[in-house]
Amino acid sequence: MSTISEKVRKAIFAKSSPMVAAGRLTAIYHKLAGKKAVRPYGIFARQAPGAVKYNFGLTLAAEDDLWLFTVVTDEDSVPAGKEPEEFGEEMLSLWESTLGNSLTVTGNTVTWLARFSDAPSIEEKKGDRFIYLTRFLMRIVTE
Amino acid sequence: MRAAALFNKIGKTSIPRIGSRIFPDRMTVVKQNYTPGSGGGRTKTAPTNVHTSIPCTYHANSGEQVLIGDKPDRKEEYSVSFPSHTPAGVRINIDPQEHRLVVAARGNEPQKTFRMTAPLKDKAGMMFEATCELEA
Repeated sequence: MSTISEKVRKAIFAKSSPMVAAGRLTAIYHKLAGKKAVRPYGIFARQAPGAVKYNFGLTLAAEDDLWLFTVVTDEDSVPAGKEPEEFGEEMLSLWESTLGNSLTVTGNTVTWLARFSDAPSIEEKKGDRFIYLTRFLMRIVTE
Repeated sequence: MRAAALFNKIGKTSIPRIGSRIFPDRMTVVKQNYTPGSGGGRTKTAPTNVHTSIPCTYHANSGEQVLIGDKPDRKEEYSVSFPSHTPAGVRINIDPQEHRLVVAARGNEPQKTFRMTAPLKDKAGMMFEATCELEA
């Protein structure tokens, strides 16, 4: 349980709101999409957190986490003329620029926010079609 | 040879006629078309109807909850049965990877789109049974 990462989670969600718009994503979810989710949608979740940093006396100093951002598309949910994986990359890039390099976290300071690496994309099968998960990892350090 | 001729006649003439009377539903076989994308993928283009008003019947086989695309989803497997020939005697050629079966609405039953998930079961050239997933 991490109180800082919970604040970061809410800050990410709030700052991601411009991604939900016509021609973009239908919704943003944390960890799991809702049962009624309609593609294309975005999911983010904290992954592989780094070591928690402490001050003397074991007071919490900083959390250094990797967050996984995923855009889920399929051939039925992208604008005409777009490949699903192409649209996924476009949305992911837009999401990255929407977040920028800062977050507002009450009581803490985000000292680093930048894309850490791309994560391998995943294809899953549903019926006779593929679902594309396009992803990247973002490093967020909060003091 | 007599058996072959009999099966051919049953498949081409008798079952399509009987099917059009006893099968409660009518379906359209729709082909989803694609064009190569600019990045090596593919993009959807307008679908085309391959066969229309095919008599058919369907039933559910199984269902399960699944997690696809980080989303709690459902998988409902159905079987759709239909004659191998149209009432006009034209063989219904199906490619499970390209074609979808769209069963028309009937009474309170809404239209259903079935996506085939396995090779077509060919019953001696007289009937086909398609294993499908109901589109949610």
